[in-house]
Amino acid sequence: MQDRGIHIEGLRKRYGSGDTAVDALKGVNMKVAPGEVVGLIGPSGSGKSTLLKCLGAVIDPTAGRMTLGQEVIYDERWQVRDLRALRRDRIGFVFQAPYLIPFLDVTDNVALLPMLAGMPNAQARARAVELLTALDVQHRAKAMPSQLSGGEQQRVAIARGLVNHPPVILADEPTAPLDSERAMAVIRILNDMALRYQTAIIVVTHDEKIIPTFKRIYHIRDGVTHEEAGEGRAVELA
Amino acid sequence: MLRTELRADAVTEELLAKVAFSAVPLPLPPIGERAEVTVDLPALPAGPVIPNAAVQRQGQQLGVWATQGDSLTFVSVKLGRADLDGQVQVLQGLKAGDAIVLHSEKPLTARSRIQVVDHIPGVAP
Amino acid sequence: MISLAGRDIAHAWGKFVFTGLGLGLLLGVTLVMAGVYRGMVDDGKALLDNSGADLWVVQRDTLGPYAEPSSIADDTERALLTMPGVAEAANVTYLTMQVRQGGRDVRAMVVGIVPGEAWGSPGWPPALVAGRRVTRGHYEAMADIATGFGLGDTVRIRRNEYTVVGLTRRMVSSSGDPMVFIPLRDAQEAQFLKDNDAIVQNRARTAANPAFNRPGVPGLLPAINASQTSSNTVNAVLVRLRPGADPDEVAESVRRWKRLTVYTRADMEDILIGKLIATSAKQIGMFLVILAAVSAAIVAFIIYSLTMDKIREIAVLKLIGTRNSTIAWMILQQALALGVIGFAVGKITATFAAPLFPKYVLLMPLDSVFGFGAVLVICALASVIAIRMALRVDPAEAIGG
Repeated sequence: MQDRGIHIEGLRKRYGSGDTAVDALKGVNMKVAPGEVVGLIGPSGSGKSTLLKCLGAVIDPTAGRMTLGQEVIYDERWQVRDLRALRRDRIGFVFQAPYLIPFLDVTDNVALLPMLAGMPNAQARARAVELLTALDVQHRAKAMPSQLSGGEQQRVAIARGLVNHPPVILADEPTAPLDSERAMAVIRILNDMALRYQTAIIVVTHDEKIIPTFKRIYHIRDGVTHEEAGEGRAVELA
Repeated sequence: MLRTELRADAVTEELLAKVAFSAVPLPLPPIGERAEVTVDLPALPAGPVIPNAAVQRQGQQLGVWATQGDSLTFVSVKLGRADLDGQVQVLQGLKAGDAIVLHSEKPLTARSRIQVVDHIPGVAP
Repeated sequence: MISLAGRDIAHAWGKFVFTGLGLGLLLGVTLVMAGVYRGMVDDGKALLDNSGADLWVVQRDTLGPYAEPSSIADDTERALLTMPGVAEAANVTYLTMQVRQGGRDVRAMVVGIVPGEAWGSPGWPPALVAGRRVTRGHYEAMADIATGFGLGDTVRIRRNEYTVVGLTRRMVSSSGDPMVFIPLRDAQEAQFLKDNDAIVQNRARTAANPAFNRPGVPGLLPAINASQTSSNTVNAVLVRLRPGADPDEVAESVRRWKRLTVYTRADMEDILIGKLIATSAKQIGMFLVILAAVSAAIVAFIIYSLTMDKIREIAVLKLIGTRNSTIAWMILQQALALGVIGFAVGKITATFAAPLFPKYVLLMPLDSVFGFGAVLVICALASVIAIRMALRVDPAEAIGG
């Protein structure tokens, strides 16, 4: 698909100016194809979060180029006017913690995004159920987030990340709080979803349990990335 | 009543009257003490009377509020003698059987909306 | 699109309802306070309306008879009757005092009115709710039901006892004390005459004074004693004008020719509402401002606390693409909902509490409408702090570390 996949060239981010300037990113290059799940690994202070924030369009990079499918979204400055709509429609987020809205039920938590984009409620809810089913959590559709187990909540969060069928998903330590079995389940799901919806997924992690599953890994240190082939171990089904 | 004096008081517009006991009370009341005297006048011919609470004013006119169902009209009356129990003679303006307003929660006007009750609520009979 | 505010309120309904109740009680007190002020103004107007007078003639240079004591001779009435434009003039006395009935004391304004067949004279209550008008020249009374007296009750006023023969409603003084109407002579005695001991001592003093106690003038001492114990003063003369007479014109001619102070209806309203009630009005006004500030603080605090509880979720909402305006609107709606609940509770509380209040509380629909508007504005303003905080949240914070 032509409009999916993410390509980053020479991305820089400088905080502050003059003597107190800090270069968090010093020229990052990354390329993720649709359907790929890549790992982004690095120690704290390496610029991981900054990179994620740039990709997530919540901070402004200083220089570089970002392309989403065919569309150049950043080239020395933002090429897209409405960043919020960009985040809503074209970037999916999965966090360490599920961060579900506590006062909405599971279906509405997922359906909220398409509703915000203007989709009629019934249609949005149908789309939500579709994703919940794909993640095998549709039987909890009417429950409130507080009634779900940790693993179920995480799956709902992933469903929310996917609901607008974005071309790229940024996953920030999605398996950190989970045990080995659940962590594998999440990685399996992410791989399945990536293939099914042709989404490029970048997983920021330092979880030893899942690193072997990536086919490609980007190491980031001191604001620069190095690509490396991963083990690409098949994800063990639980 | 023994007699009324011929002279009137110019300021108070009152006549002095002398009253005597038909049956002298024993012991005699002390001299100088104030007494309240009620004078019974000869009975008047029978005629319509109304309680004095019903008498109202509209401007200079004395009258009563007559009711017909829920509607109110002010009827001017000419009043005669009044007695100490609150009844007052109606010389002109009303006839026996006319319905009039006796007590009301607020002073009435021609535009007041009324509801006729047996007792004003909140007032012990 | 679903209502985020509605869902949040449903989820945290306990907090909302409790805060709404607390806020509502505060607002109820506010409404009652406003009602007390309106009641005082209404008391003043009722006093003036029920007196049936067009002009009040009082002692020169006083603000009487309600705002200041005033004393004039009781034959002034006759002189006033001769003035052009005057249809009726009636002497009247006012004295606020304790009236005893059975075992209890009631604070009342004792009004002395000219007895007899003076139907509808100025000073008389225009309508009765029970009983009859006073017919005898002494020892009968009409009382307002707010005194708690019933027909046939015996009440004691100073030296004498009176039988209640008639009852009135809403006949009150400007400070809300119920009125008791007694014949003028009795009222003059009550106001101006002293108790037995004082009279005896006064007679002794007069007798000891050689100027008054002259052996060659035997009638002098008794005449002086008699003049000291008689009372020919009243507090005011109430004047009713002929139809078509101009109050200001007649007032002016009375001022000029009789050299007394005269107030028209408009002047009296000014005095009562402008001077008598002014201090209370200021106190109530201050109280209202404080209550409004406290209400605003409560709403601000609760909405702030509710928003703080959700700050993580708000960051996530912003990150995944929710508009700032959607989030702001959600918070504002919650604040307004709180205001609506609070006002509803407040209005209900006020309606039930008003009759139980010792002063007359007049709740006007206009006040409720205005109060509702003010509550909504206060809630909207109180939510500004929380909204600003929510808008300042950086969506990047949702991406940790």
